[in-house]
Amino acid sequence: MLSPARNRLTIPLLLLASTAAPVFWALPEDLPPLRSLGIILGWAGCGMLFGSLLLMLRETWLSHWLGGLAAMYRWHHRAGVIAYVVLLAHPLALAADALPASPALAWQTLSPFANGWAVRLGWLSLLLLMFGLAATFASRIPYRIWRWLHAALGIGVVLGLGHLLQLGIDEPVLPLLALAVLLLGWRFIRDDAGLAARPYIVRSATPIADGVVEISLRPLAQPIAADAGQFVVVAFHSGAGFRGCGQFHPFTISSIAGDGEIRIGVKALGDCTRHLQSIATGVPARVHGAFGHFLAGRPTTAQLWLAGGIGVTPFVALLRGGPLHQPTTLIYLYRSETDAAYLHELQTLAAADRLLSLQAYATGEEPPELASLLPASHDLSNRECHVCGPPAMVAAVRKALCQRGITTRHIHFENFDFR
Amino acid sequence: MNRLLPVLLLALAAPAAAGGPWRASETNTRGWQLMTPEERIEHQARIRGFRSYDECRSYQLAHHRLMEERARQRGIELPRGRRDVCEHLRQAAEPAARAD
Repeated sequence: MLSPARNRLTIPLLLLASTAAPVFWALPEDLPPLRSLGIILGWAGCGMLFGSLLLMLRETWLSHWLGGLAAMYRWHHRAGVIAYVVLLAHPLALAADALPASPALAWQTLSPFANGWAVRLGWLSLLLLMFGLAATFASRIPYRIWRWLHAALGIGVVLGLGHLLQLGIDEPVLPLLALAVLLLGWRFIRDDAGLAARPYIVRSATPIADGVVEISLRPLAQPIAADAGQFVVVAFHSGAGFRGCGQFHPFTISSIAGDGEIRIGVKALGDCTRHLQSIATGVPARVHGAFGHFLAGRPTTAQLWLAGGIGVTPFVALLRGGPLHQPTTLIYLYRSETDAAYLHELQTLAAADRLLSLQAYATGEEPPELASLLPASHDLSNRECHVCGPPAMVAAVRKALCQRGITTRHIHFENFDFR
Repeated sequence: MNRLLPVLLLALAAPAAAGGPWRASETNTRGWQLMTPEERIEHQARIRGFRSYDECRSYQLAHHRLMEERARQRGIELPRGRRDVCEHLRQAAEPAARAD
């Protein structure tokens, strides 16, 4: 396991390298400043896009090296946005170079109508990147539509390389084009089509709260290797009177049995997860993972766990794995008793384990009053804090803990915020 | 130990050692001022695509004739390009010729 600091630096350094390499290769000489800037921006955006493409791969070994799938997706998104902005500035800088000569010449430089396929492909690529990014920010779009809109980004990358080929730069663009197709194909075949996933079957599905079902999955071949606190990416297919959505979604493991059977907690948060509330026994599924290291390598010091809603699942998995070895306080926040998944089981576990202190609160529709819920500063010293839940709650808790003097090194968190 | 990053850094650093693409500009293209942006892009792509000196030279002469004609029509003096854009192809061909 890498140190957290090194893990945090790996992806930014990777993106820096993927951006800097093509810029150094193509660094202009003896050209006017604005034209040079335009060229640099084009190659920088291209390199940043390749970094972003690498970060979209959902592979356990890669996520381990790069600090987790959540971090990879976060940076994939950031790199995509930065690349788009930089690439949009690329033709503008080239046009600005022609502006002192005449505005008409500047417009001719930009215009897809006044130029050949080199410029047209560049603009088409930018339009597809804009389209795909707009979809990324539109969180209300149904996931199945969102996925296809997001795929426009991949086509945009290929067209962007076509723009370079039209400019007569076949070296190193042809190898780059092959690499882009390889990365996009890898993602599509291994991750989206499920080649990297393993076959499982639904053994049982038990409703455990309003809009929450716990699904037990039995492996049909070699099971995945997983630890408590990790999550898997699962697609449920059609079978046994159930029409599966076939989309891969992340779910936290709530228990791992010796024979490889896993259980996952599924909260109705979207179309597919709502549909999964009525899943039947015998439905085939494909499981990919496991990912994440949220509760891995915990020290033996006292712990504070804070869970919001379905964010309690990784803690449940750990508690089901056996008794605790350090004093642990679990603060569990939920809207109402009927929403509280695993609550009765947690109460039973807390009653049986003297090291576990459970504090469960129904917060209603308002944000929780963290000032009164969190322990005082002197009670928090020397504690490792683990927070899991919706992004807004995690951010509020991290801020409140920092205000109580807890350093970020002692705050570990996991958001449920990536698709 | 994180083995991925050094490998990727080396892989990404490799192209940085090579030279970038040839670029058409005022200094190496005769009649640059008389060309449209589309012509400049096309000219640059054509020059980049040549693999032999003769092909390049034949295109270059045709280009020069066209630019001289444009300059004559506009009644202006055509500045000479300060570099021969086909020179690199002649240099590349010479060692091979000596080897024959």
